[in-house]
Amino acid sequence: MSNQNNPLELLETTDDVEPTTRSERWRVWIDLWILTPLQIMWKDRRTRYGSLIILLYFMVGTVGVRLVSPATQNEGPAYVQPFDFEYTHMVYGYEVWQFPLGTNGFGEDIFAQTIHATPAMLQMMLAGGVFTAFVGAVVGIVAGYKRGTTERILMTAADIQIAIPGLPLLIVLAMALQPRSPIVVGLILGITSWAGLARALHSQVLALRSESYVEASRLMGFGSFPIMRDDLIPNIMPFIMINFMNAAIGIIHLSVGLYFLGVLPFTTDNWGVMINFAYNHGALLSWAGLPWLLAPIFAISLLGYGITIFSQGMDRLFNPRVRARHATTMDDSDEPDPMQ
Amino acid sequence: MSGTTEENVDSESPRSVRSEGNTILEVRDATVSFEMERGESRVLNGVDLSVERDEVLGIVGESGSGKSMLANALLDAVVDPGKTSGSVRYFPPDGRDPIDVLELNDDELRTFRWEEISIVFQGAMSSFNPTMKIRDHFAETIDAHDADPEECIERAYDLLSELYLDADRVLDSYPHELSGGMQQRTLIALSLILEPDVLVMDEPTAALDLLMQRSIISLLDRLQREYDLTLVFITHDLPLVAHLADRIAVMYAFELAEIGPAEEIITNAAHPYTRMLLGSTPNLDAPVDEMRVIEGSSPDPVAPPTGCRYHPRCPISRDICAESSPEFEDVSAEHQAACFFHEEASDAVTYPIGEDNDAIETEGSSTSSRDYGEPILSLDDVTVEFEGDQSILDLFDEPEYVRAVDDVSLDVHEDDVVALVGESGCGKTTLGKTIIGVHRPESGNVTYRGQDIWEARDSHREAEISFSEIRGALQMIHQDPGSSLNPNKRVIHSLRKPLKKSQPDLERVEQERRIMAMLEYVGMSPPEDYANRYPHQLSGGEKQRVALIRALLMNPDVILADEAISALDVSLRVEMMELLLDLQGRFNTSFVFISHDLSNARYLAEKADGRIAVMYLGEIVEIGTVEQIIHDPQHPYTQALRWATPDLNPRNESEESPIRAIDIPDPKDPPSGCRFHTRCPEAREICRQVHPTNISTNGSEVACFRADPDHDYWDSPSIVNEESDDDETSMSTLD
Amino acid sequence: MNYYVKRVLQSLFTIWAVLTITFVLIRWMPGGPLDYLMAQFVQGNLGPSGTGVDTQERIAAFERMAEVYINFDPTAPLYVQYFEYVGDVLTGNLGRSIWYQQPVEEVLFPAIPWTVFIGAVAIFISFISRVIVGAALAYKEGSKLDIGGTTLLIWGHSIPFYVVAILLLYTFGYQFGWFPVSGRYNPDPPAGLNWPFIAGILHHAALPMVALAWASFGAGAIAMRANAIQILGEDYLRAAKLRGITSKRITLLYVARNAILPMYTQMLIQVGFIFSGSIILEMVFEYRGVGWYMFQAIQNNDYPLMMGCFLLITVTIAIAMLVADLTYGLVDPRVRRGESSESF
Ligand code: SF4
Ligand code: SF4
Repeated sequence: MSNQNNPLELLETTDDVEPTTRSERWRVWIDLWILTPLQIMWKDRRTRYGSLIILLYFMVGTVGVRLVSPATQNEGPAYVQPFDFEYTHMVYGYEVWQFPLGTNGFGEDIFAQTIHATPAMLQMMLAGGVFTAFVGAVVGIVAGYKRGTTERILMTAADIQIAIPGLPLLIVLAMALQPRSPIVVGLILGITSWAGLARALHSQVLALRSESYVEASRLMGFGSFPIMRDDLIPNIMPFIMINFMNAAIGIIHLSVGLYFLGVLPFTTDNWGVMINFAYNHGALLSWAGLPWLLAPIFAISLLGYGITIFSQGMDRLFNPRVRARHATTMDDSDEPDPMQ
Repeated sequence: MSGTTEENVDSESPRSVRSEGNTILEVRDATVSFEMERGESRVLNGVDLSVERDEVLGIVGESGSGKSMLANALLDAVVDPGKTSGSVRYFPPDGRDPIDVLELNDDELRTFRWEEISIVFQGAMSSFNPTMKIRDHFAETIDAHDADPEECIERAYDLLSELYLDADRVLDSYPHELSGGMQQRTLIALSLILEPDVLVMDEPTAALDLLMQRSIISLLDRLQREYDLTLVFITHDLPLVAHLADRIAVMYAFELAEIGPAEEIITNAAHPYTRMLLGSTPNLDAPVDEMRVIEGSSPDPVAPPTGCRYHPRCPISRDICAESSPEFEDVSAEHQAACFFHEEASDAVTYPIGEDNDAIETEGSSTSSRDYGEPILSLDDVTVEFEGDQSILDLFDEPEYVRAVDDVSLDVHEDDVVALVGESGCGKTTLGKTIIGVHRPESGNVTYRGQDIWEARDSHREAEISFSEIRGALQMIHQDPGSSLNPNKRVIHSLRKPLKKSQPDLERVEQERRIMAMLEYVGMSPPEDYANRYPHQLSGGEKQRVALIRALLMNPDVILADEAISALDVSLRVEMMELLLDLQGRFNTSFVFISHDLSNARYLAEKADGRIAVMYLGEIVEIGTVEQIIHDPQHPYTQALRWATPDLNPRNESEESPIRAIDIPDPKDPPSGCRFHTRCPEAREICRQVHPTNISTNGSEVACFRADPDHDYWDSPSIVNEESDDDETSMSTLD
Repeated sequence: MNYYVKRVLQSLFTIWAVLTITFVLIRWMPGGPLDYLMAQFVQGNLGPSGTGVDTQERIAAFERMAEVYINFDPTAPLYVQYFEYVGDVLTGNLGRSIWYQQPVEEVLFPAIPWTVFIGAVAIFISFISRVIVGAALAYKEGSKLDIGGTTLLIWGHSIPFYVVAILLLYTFGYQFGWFPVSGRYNPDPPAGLNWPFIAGILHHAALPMVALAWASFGAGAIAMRANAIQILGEDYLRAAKLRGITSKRITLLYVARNAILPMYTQMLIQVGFIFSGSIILEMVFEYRGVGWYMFQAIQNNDYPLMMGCFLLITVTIAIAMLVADLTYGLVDPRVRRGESSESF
């Protein structure tokens, strides 16, 4: 290079900068990535309640199943109504309801059934959500950034997947594969939802890649991978996360639907299976069947609600403006006034 | 300011009426405040102002000075939850009782606005309903005011054609089908449809090219006289209104700082702020050495400085300035300034216009004799094309191609500055990006130190200079500070990236040290603080500086600065350009500087001893030294740009527009022959048929027949007057 | 290539891909149509019975049978099978239903109007109500009504529509007895254009329609609210107010229209998804539409019928998407061609 006046050497006369120590960096990192997000989450009503609800399901799925024994047929009379003090038992020395939510037509404890359906549902949800978010993100980002033939092939695949209606395809697949493990069920259900995310991300990435700072990175000679990692993904992460959550809700709804239809093998307790039994075995015929029907429905919708409000408040978690305002390791006194 | 209820005086000589003190709007103690978490934000503070009938009042201030609030307060149109207090009285010209605008109820306001006073906002695009045709906008307005539809539509046609628009086509278009300049003119017509007496314009031209701005200003001048309008013109750009306005009011920190006749304000400003503003504005006439930078930034509306609000930045402030706020003092009969020491200001703060007018002489510099060595970059007959838009009608046609750059050759030398100037859509950004190897040309070569860039790219290792080396040597600063930095990464992270590329084995501590040094150097101190900020915590100017550092840390040979300063406030531009120049001199970096503003281009090119290239529809029509382009432009288009560039010298009385059509022709289908012939004031028959090639005249190159005294052009008949019924020319960007 | 041509070709490609996928599923799915047919044949449930027939003849009989039920002969070369299948489907021959012993199209086509009827009305109800609710919440943004309403909408959105269907059936069908719990029309009045018969149809369709409308209501109303809020903050709204335009006109021509237009494609795509959602819905209400037949086919392992439903639904959706894409530019003047496909 003919350029002798290297700017870096020219300016070396200024005072030395204190090198940041390792522990200092750790402190900043923890503050930025753990404490601050928690704080932001707690500040916003939506993320606070949303995360509490999600935490509740998580606790039920891990601890709850150990505390409540699984339901068995004829453990009580059929159609015991909720909170009936006729039926109590002792738990750690306290007298509590034996059937807090009553029993179904087979004399099974509805509460226990609802609880024991949770782990499988959560597994399904996670597997399906992660699958959707991962495949959708990879396809969308690569297609958006790479352009050309790669883009055309990936987007055509996504378009075809979108045009194939989800439920019928899943029915056909479920009939063929008869998956038994909740994780496999989740993965299969994820097949129908990645394409929508891929498409939406594709157009977001297209917009992002023409941002000046992405072009600047390209001009510096950075390749596709570092650009995607540093410049694209952090900016679409909130979107991916929101879609991950929506996909998770979608997976619950789909799986409940498929179990209700009876096309998936009944392996474990499941809210869909509960509805199926209630529908097919006479719960509809009298008011006494209401708890049988409502318990799984409530379980589904509360989880859906929690995830939805959490995801609505979530973009704040990723917003550098909000993060900077909460971080303690950062001086934020002179943020430009919005009025200017 | 009493005698208000007189009948409107004859419209023959409106300018003479003004001196009679014929007030149409009287503003007393107007205050606008917003409740904010931090406290009350007063974005307009106790402004007193009278607007005379049939005058043009320019209100000038930087962004965040409260000038828009003043505009809105005149119509009681401040957005919720802002509160307007004080009084605004309107004196109808037909002798009706004065109207207290702030006391009107909603219904009265509805009729008052648009029939008596109307307003034009800055963003024309966002002032139209995107799903409604222009015609419906006119129709609904007429309808809402129960005006006579036929008469009004007729007026709409008159207004539109007066504004050089094809009324039928404009009315039948959707807003997005019109170019920015067309939309803005349409909006002006829409605001005049009900014959208001006062038209308030809030930065009506800020988003437009200079040539369009200037054309609109001269149209406004005409409309104002023809329709007996009182114009209140709000802008951040003092030179722009200098010739249009009769009086100018300068705002600083939500208050009026100075008001007076335009000429007096320009030549003999009394308030130190006005004088600083005038001195910091790049313009074509003033010697570049006399322009200077305004220190500090404008104050916060919640906690403004005590006393005179300008005192923290004022070079002549004394103790009293911080203690009590100055009242308006008469400088002359019609000229007031809010400054205790305005008599001293003229000596303390000088600016190159006015009293020392004679100092402005074209310096016969030695610029043209500069000896260029081997070019770093050279473009050889480069052409760049883009696929154009299609509509549903051309279902089976091949897509059209737009030649964004057509057959351009250009050399960039070591330590050089090349300023590319032209209207938007002329291809200057595309050319710039082709120069630094972002766009691949369809034909022609771009060579870096003798190595063809795209060959190097295709052949990977075999090239003499590898592509990655070339890539690193050609950097860019983008136009929009808002998107130039990754919003999710701190400054330090953004700046570490180029170092990782250019000096991969540098230790982390050493990296940081250099980054801090650079931050400090560009005036961002303390650097540790700035390094840890996110982009949203920086101002626009600071972001651009970080972008500049980022480019410099690559140790490049050439930096493309794409309108890098036009998004900044006027007073910051000179500062940024100074920084560019300083770094250029220090690091031997060449700059390709893109701007639509001739005066910025001139500032940079003159100081760096560089060249200016004028582009029109994908071609370079004239290139030469500053001396040649600014003081002796050969090409009629350069002359037009020269005309459009605001200058402060009141002796340069504004002439009529030198171009025949305001709008640029459709770049998809450029005119035959000389592309400028549809707008050129000197066009002759031959220009329509023959494409002029570059002609060298003492150092500069001009693509116009007029540069060659022996050309056939001189025998060809003129076509200037034949096109009056040829609407195509002015409407051709409408598609 | 031109955008429109490209888009049409893409839809054709999609339909072809779906045909190929169904072919693969039929041909190779373990326990799928071919296997099932074979099993049925071996057990003698289908085809010529009697053990006295010799093997040659039995194989020939099976080939003929396969041709009838699943449109290709599994013993022919693969490409012949493929072309036979695609050719048959494209000419409207969807095979033969095992359960009903009728050509699939004869079973299915009469069911289409019932499903379309329910779906169209449901979309209409859902569209009107979400526009009104969304706009109302947007105008009251930040108020108690808005917060409460949004919460309810999110709740509603978290309940799958078929669950709503069950609850409606339970409450208004079984418990209160206000609506019939199954069927499409009353048997007593003679079919035809007479009021009692039509009233019966509406009576039967009411609950399914409400349940289906629910499917898109919550999310749609939230989207409408967001659109409207954005438009309420636009400069052109303020400009219009300053020009003196009446608030009625602003509400209709500015807020409502501009907020609704982006929902256009979404709505057309829902038209396509009617069939998809109808499977569970019609099962719950035992409403004999396309979805009910698909459910029946699943239950009875009637693969030809199932594949027929699958194809029908897929093609409908592909066409709905195509129409949405091609016409959006005409509906919303803001969109230049080619930029509209943000729809799915
Ligand atoms: S009053 Fe004082 S501080 Fe204010 S402008 Fe005049 S001299 Fe400067
Ligand atoms: S060649 Fe003719 S039309 Fe072109 S600029 Fe010169 S005089 Fe004007």
